[in-house]
Amino acid sequence: MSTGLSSHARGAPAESAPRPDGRGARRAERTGRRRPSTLSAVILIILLGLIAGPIVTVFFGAFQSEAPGMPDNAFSLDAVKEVYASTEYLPSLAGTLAMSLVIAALSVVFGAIAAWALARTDVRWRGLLELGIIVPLFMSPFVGAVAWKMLAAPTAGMINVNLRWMLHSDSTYVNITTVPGLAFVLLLYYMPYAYLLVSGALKNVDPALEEASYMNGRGVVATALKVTLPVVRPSLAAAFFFVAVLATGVFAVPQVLGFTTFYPLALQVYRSMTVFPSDPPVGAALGTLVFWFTLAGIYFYRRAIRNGQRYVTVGARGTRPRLVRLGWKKWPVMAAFGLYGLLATILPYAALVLVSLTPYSITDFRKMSLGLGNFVSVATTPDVVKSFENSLWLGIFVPTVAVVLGLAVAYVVVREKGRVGAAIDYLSTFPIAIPGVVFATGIVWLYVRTPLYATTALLLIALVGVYIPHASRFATTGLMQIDRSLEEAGRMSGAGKFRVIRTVSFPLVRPSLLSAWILLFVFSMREVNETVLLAGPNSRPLAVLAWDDVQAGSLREAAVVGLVLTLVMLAGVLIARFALRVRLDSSNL
Amino acid sequence: MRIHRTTGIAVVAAAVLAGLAGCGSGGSSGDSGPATAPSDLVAKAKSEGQLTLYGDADQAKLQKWAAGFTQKYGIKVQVLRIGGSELFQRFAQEQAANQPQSDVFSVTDYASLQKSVQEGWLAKYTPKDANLLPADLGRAGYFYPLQNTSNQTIVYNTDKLTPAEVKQVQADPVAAAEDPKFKGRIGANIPESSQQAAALWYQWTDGSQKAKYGWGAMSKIAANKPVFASSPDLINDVTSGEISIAIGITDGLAAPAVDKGAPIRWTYPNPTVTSAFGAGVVANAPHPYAARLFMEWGTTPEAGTLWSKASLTKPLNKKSDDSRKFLHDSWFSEPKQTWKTFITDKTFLDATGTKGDYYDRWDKTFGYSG
Repeated sequence: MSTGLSSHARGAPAESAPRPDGRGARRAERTGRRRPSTLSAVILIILLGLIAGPIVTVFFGAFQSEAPGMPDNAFSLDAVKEVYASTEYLPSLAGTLAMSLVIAALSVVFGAIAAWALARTDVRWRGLLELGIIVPLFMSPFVGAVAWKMLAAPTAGMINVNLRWMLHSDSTYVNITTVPGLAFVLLLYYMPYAYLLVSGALKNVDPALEEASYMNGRGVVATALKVTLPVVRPSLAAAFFFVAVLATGVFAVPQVLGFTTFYPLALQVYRSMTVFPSDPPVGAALGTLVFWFTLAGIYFYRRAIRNGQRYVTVGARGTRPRLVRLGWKKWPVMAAFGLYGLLATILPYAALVLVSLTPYSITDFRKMSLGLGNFVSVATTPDVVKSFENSLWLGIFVPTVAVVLGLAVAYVVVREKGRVGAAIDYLSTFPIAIPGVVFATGIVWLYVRTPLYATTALLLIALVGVYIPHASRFATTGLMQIDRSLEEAGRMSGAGKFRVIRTVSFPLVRPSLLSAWILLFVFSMREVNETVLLAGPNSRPLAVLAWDDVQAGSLREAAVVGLVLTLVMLAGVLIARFALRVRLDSSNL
Repeated sequence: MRIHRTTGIAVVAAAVLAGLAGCGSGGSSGDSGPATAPSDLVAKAKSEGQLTLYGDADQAKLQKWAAGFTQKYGIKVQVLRIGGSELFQRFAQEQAANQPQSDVFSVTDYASLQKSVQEGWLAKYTPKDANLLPADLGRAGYFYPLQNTSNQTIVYNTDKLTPAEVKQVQADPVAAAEDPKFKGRIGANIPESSQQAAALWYQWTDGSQKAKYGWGAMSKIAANKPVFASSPDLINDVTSGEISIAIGITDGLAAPAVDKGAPIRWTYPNPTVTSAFGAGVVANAPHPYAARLFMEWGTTPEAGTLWSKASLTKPLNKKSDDSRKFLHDSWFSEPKQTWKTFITDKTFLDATGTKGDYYDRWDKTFGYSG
């Protein structure tokens, strides 16, 4: 391994490798006009089907008078005019953008502070504290929202009701149905993404840079601000835009919280598709409106990632960063981590357990009668077993297919480059820009005439499309750290491209791919934004069952299903931990 | 050149995909089974072994009810329950694409059912016991009110209201909701949530009660800053005490919570809006005989009694039993007058149709922008 900045890390052009196909190919590679390989052509076609297809269909649907394929459907500009040429949706647009940017900024600030504290200070129980940051990823944000509504609704939330009788007061202590309340819930569940992105970058920073700063007499704060911060700034920007784009697509959390201050655009899309009288073309037109803004976010995200990669350093000297001694301050720092764990994990799960044990909505501890009736009710529901099977099936195959495709995408982007590589690179990032419910609408319209409609296989296709950006990012990071001469040696020895990928690249990026697999396993188990519109009677996974329960007002059954889902995810992660030795922490993710 | 080639591939693929999605509707024309029960219906249905029921009634109730059918015939029933509007959208799209997933379609929205008949999405089928059900709540030969009626109510939390306030709500729930003392304590089911909810508001603003209430009363209710939510959410809110009064909840939704001991009761506005779930066999159903057998079973007194027990609603089948406990409670009284004809009332349908402005007026009055 080399020390310091590699040629890739400096952003230098990749050295052209000797190829069996001769000088012409080398020249073509330098000029970026290489013939597209079979692999890149195949990947491009797959991505066009998985990603471009649904997006194009949504745009097509926006110019229709009814959902595509419906009787009496015709070309119409009504929906586009209603969305783009009126002021009706401006408050939603402004509110959505403001909410997304605020959530992203707060997530990055708190995520970066947490990452710095765990990577650069001598705070105790680092593994446990990091686990506390990552565990909220196991909970569907909408299940978290259900829990927080039970906890902090202004009149009947558990916190308010019980503090009132304990403190002999009639005050409202917390209110989750406000703008800060919505921001709080989103922050709890988006902060881990920012933490993971920033933490990964912090661990890659050459400690010698900070060491030099200390040697020159700069203090902890000055070093953090003048040395560490500039180096990880691209990662901070990447985390900011990533979270902003994710938050733009959220609809389940405001829906559950009964948020009425403004209606986020993604929620408007969902309602246009589902609430009487439904208007799918308006939903599609709103989806295209969201798309332009998230596309801008993606542009900045990609730029930040590219800049971030210029600073990636893989050192071999084993230099460890100097840990800042916190002294007595380590206790308040640990308390802050504990508070986050309490708010994001302990309180919501405690609320879910209590809700799952009550016969109806009771929040006063003095009046609670607990029983297992809801568990029996859920266990005897015929759908649960089938949903469990569907979740498991998706949990195994979605990450597997996504990771394989992600590796192929990364290989084309990192090793083959060229214009097709660039097109694949862009295309593979697009799903982040599409709110799940919009993407799902495109999938439904695209596949409703095929035998795949309403099957678990269609959910797999949709989720693989959605998770390709994540899988390819992991694989790209892994591939960039491998000296390509290893692969070239394989090619020079007569091995074909696929054999080289299978026998050289794959084993070397295996840790990255396994980390991607486990993260996508968790995501696909808890996913609801896409699957809610796609699942048919026989293909509903557990998360959709929980969402349907929430929609039907059966919060207690939803709590039971939410708890079961968490246990399944936990079991999967533990199996991965002990059987595959993959740890879900920031060093892998 | 290369970039053009790549772009070319993308454009061609996009055009193909768009063409796929946009190609003309392949609506299912006509049905694929007999219009009355054949002699070997049970045997044929059993050989199909399963059926899928699309419904917008409560999931647990639908499953309990369908379990009765499974118990009797050994035919597994898969229930897909989602909100009425979303369900119809899905059903219509599947039928238009000739991709039927459901065998029996059951919703409470009469307009959706009529549209389904008009488009040929429901098969012509008349169960033997159809005459045991009221003819005016279905459409003979197509769909029948297997799952009783539901009435719009105003639900209140007895722990959150004083006895005087309870009396006030029971006497005239709409006038009570206007009272400023209920500011911040009211929840409202928006008219957009269902045709029944729209009819409830409409009769107060523009319908039979216009002179008594009108938009002026609505402005006063709006001044009390109601919470807007779906009826399932409102039931949870009023049960937990988050709100004290919920406007526009069906009795079938409130009854199970009362049965479990929740501190809520309801009162019917006069007149109240009454609607029925209509169920019919889906044209080109994947399991056409199982679907027909389900309709046969659904129209029996036995199935009516079972649905009444599961849903705690009044049975419509002439020969079914009504064993609801709260019928004898002092707080309960049956609706005095009901409005059922909103489903064919042209003025109402025009006002709430795509060209009508009723929702806009309601939203403006209540300051609702969802």
